[in-house]
Amino acid sequence: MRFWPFVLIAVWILCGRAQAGSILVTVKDGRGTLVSDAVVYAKPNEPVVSLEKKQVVIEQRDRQFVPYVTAIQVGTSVTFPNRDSVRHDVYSLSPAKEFELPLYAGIPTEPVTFDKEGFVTLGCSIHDWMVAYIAVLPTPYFQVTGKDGRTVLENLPVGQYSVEVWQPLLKGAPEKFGQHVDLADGSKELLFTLDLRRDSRAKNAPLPNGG
Amino acid sequence: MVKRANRQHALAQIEASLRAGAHIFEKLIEQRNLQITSAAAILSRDHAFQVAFAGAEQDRATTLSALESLQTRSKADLVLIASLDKELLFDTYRPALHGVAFPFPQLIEKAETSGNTYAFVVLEKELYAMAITPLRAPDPIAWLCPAFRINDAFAREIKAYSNLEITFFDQSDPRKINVLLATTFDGKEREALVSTFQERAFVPQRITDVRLNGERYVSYLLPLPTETGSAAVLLQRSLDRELAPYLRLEQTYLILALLGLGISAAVGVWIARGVSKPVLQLAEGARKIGQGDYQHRVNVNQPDEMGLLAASFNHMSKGLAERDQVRDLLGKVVSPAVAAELLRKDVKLGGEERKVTVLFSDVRSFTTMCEAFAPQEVLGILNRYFTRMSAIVEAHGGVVDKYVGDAIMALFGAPLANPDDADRAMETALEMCEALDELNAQQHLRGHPAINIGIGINTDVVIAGNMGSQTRLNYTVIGDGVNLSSRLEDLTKTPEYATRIIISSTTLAKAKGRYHTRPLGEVAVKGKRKPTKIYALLGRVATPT
Repeated sequence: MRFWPFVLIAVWILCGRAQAGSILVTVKDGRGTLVSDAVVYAKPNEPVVSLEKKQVVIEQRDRQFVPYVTAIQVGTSVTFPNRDSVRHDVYSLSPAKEFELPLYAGIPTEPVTFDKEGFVTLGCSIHDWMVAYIAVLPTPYFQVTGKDGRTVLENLPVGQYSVEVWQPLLKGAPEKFGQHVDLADGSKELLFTLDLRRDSRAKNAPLPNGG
Repeated sequence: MVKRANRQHALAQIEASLRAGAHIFEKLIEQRNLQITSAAAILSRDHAFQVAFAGAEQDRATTLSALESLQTRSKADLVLIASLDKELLFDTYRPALHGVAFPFPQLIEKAETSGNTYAFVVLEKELYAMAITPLRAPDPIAWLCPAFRINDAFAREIKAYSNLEITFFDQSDPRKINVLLATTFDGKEREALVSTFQERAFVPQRITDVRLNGERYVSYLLPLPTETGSAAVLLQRSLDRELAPYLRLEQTYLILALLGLGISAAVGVWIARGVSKPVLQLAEGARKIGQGDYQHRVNVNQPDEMGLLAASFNHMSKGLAERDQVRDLLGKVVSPAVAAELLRKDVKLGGEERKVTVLFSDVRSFTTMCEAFAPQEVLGILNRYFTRMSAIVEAHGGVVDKYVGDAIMALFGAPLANPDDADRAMETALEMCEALDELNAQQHLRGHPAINIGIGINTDVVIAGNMGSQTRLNYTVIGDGVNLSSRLEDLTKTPEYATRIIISSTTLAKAKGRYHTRPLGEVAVKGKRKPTKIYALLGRVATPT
């Protein structure tokens, strides 16, 4: 976080004379608790030019997906390297991307390309507790909140945006909580208050001795 | 009273056990529901089913079929799937039904807050325990609801653990008082239960008595947490059957008591007979002895005090018999009065001076008679004579002192004195003469000669007592007075006197009655200077009555 100012400066320098703004977002739930793992994204009114496709990785480490929440732009390919000594069977039954990587170890040869907008829930068919999410977004402007429930969408071209937030426990569609932003030079601050479900999921793998 | 206390105790026990049973029932139901809930949770993770249900290539038939497979695997009676927004998606019981509102939305709301849960639901007039769990892929995508029918078989299964009669019924429809859903009862009791439900309401969690087909049941109503309407369960225990052990105990007590009573009565009778029988025998023996039957023996052969008593009794009667025999013999040898005197006092030598009237009688010309007849005949004649005469002597209180040949010596005044001893002697003499006449008449009939006797009577002071040796002695009298009476008897032979009876003046002087006498003059008596006047006794002077 301390690096953000430098990064901003660097980006600003790199971008040269192009005008850009940033949006500082804070996400809370109904009880005022700061919410992590919330995907914050800004959909510009203008058609979006796809940025350079990044290689995104979701690992299976210690029988957990890492990271828990990943945001990608539509069309991004994701690889699921298995860093564990046990095999995993990664699947999704989400309409945005249904797929299954049958029990495997190591790095699958083919990455999975997410070419449809939506929210994908990943599971492992042999480890009930393993769960991860991919937000497949129609925009390159997104971030995921950290534990402080904050994030910054920076280096956004000046213009009209619809800023939305999605979280795994979100009740209803993110559009409901969308906020319109007319971004000029400089930065804006936004606060999102989300209606979240109770988190009933077992987050961690059981200890080897079953405890 | 013991019986009542026993019953009350039994009732309290039954009530306590019913409450305990109710607790067990609740725990069993909870346990089972947790089981079906966890079974549901396992089903919800079935990846193949997840794919069939949520995969891209969905078709209802496949999903329903997979759902039926899950149902079979979990032994559920039906499985429902509801969407997250409470729409019924699948129902294995009514396969065609979908796209309608889920019938138990509250159940979903409950599951949303508490995760896996369960509830009792009434569906198509049947009671189910329904579990609800999110179907995850891996996030909740729907609600999976396996339901387990609560039917008679289930009730019986619970009964096997809780030992309770169990009846589930629906109270949701106010028009029908209580609809029976499942029960452990069948036949007439089931019918009785249905009609009981029509008649009465049950207060929850209170013990009441219900009579079903003649049998009493202690009953306890427990409401069930149902999602729709209100179901309840009636837990019952047969009072009669529960009381049976107490009744058996009571009977056992009764039998034991009767047995004890019987045994003690028998023992009592046995002991009483052991005591009373010999006592009665002894009493009978004493009565017999009282009557003079000394030969009677008491037959009690017991090794106890009674036996000893009986032995002593027999010994006593034997002793009595011997004494009686002795007395009898004594009576024959000596006169009864002497015998009594002898028996009364210690027998010892020695005598006393007594005034005694001595009667001497003798058969005249006995020697001649003896020659004419055989000794046997003589003895017969003599015995008849003695028997008759002795009887007369004794009848007048005299004592036959001895028989000397054909003579009889009788005493009046010894050993017992009477004021009229002289009279008695004279009366005896007169009666002897009268008797002799009768005897002679009989003698005549037999062809025997007539017996003639002479009697002498004298009264004087003589020595009376036991005389002889230490080992053999006689009660008799001695003295001159005795000799005189013998003399007087001898004088009767004198033809001039012409009398059978001669008495001395002393005797006559002592006589109180009046007699016809004839003076015969005086005779000199040995040892006496003065001669004694003698009289012939002729008869009594009849006293005018």
